[in-house]
Amino acid sequence: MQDMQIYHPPLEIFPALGITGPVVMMLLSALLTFLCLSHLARRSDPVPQGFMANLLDAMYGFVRETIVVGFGGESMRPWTGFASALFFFILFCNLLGLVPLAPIFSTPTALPAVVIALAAMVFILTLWLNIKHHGPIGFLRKFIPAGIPIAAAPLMFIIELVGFVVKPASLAIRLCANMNAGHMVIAVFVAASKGFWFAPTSHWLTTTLSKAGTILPLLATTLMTGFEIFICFIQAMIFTILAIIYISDAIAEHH
Amino acid sequence: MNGAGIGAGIGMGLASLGTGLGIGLLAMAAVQGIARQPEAEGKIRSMAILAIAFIEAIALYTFVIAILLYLKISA
Repeated sequence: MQDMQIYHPPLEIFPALGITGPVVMMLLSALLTFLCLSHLARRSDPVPQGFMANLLDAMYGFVRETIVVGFGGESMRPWTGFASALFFFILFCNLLGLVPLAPIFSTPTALPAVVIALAAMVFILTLWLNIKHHGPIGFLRKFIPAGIPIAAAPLMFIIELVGFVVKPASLAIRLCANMNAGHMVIAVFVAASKGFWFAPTSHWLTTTLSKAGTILPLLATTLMTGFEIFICFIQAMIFTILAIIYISDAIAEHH
Repeated sequence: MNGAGIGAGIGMGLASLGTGLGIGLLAMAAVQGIARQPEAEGKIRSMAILAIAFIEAIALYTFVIAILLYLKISA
């Protein structure tokens, strides 16, 4: 267990202002998001030229067509800017953590504070949109589904209220736990390869077998890292999809 | 002391069992759907990936609890 270094304390860069490694990573992903989206916004040529421009265009098109319009409906099209900013920011945060230089590159989205801030942004946005579109009374009326008996209304109100608060909380826990779990699996495999290599063997045969066996956890680490890249995309997608679903629920008339 | 560790292990195992069953059922339904209607493959795939994320999130909630229990032991 001593070989497993899961938790690296954040790199102190400028402690007086509380700037640590994850903060720098967040600023970097915000900068990358800004560069990507401003490139998309300023491009005069309607046909993307080159590999990166095509990749960016495909990802933006995916966010707009599949996530925003596909899950939120045609009326959500003006929210594409918000959704793509959220998607690219979370994606870059997730991917920067996979660069294998542990204390320098870290995953901001593996920290609870970062994902809670992102989920709180979605929560406050849904709250504000609900009150803006339905008024405070209409917002409270949304917690009581139409057509239920009056006796069950207080119970339903409490259940719906809890659901309203828990939905963004599960958004935060899902992203944070996914990022941490992937890192821990990789740490376990790296520790296993260390254990194989430094196994205290005395006979030449067992030593050879143990040294040759190091390749197995290393292969698993490689596979797992590839899977992690996939997870990074999926989690950024899930977060954006759920944020869009909550926002479109907040705007929609209750039924 | 050790009770928390055993609890974390059993909880994580049960969560993995449930998640395995859930994703297995999902894969079964998705493969059947694609076999019956190959033209809906893209739509089924994206819905299946979304559903997998929801199912594994339940195991990850247990994982968070297990980590909390583990930290309780080591503290």
